[in-house]
Amino acid sequence: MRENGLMFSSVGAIIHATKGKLMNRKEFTVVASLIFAMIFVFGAPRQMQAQDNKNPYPSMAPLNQYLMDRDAEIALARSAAPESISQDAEVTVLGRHGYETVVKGKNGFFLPVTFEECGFSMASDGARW
Amino acid sequence: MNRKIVKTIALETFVLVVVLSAPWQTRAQDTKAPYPSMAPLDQYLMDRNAEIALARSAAPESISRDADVLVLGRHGYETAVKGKNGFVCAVERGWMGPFNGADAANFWNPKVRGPVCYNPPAARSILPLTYKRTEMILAGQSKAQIIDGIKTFIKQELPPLEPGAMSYMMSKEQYLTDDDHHNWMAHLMFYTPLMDGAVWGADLPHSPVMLNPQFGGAPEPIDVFMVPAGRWSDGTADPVR
Repeated sequence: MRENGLMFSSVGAIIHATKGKLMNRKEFTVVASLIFAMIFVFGAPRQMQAQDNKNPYPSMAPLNQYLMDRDAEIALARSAAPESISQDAEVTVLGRHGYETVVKGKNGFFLPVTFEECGFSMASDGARW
Repeated sequence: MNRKIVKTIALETFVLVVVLSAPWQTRAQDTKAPYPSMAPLDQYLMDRNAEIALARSAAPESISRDADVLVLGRHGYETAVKGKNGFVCAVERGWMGPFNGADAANFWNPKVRGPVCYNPPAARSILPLTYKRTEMILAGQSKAQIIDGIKTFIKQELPPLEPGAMSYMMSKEQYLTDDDHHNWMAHLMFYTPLMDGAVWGADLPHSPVMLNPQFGGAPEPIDVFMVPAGRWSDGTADPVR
């Protein structure tokens, strides 16, 4: 709002400055250019902000940011379920080419740290990436 | 002692044992089966508006306000309110529990009120079991007859269980047991084909998932998994115990 107000008052000043005179083509071009420049300068940050709000992670980050320390990932994966379930579950960790089984289980449960599913569940908050 | 005195003492002792043990036997029977048979039908019926409100209280208002609502009549469930979101809310009675075994204690309990809102897949593939059981109960059939009737119904008429079938039981006013916590806990129910409860991690230490003995193949070939909701349908907390 404040930016718009500033923009409109600047336009007003230009109009005021040319008041009472018929603008020639050169003056008109200058005034139009100024108005266009002001719209561009003041409007751009708002557009960027709106875009940021919509999707703060628009593309994949460097792969290392998705990877974890192996033991920490195993512990985190196991924390997904009560110990009575996770103690006998298969545990996988994310490697550079996909998930790898690091602990073979025996109860049929499977515990990856599913970054992608977290992304889906929070898609409205733009957390997919 | 002559024979006459012995006979008198024996007889008096027997009478004494019978008289003194009778209340104990009665109490034991009460504890074992407080509701051994169906109570008069009126005890299972409710005021229509109260039943509609209770049925709706099974799910948050955002779901139940547009749901079909059923009420129990003298011959079965009737649609009292037509909805538009495919959910169906009803107040089930004790006879929707297991037919036999320890969990059957409330089968004929006329105080049981189980408000439930079925999602559309459950309304199509689970709710028909409620209609069928109730219809046979109200027709005065025995448990054995009902079990046979359900088996035939499953073979001939019951639609296949739909993926995603679930229901809400989040009414603070539900009455599920004569124990101190009549309303037990707000929970959600998920319907699956018969399977080992361990596949869901059900009933393992600290697992929130519980396998409901409601159907379990006796005779309905359906398992019901329950998960605490953590809050009642009105939004108030129901901490998981």
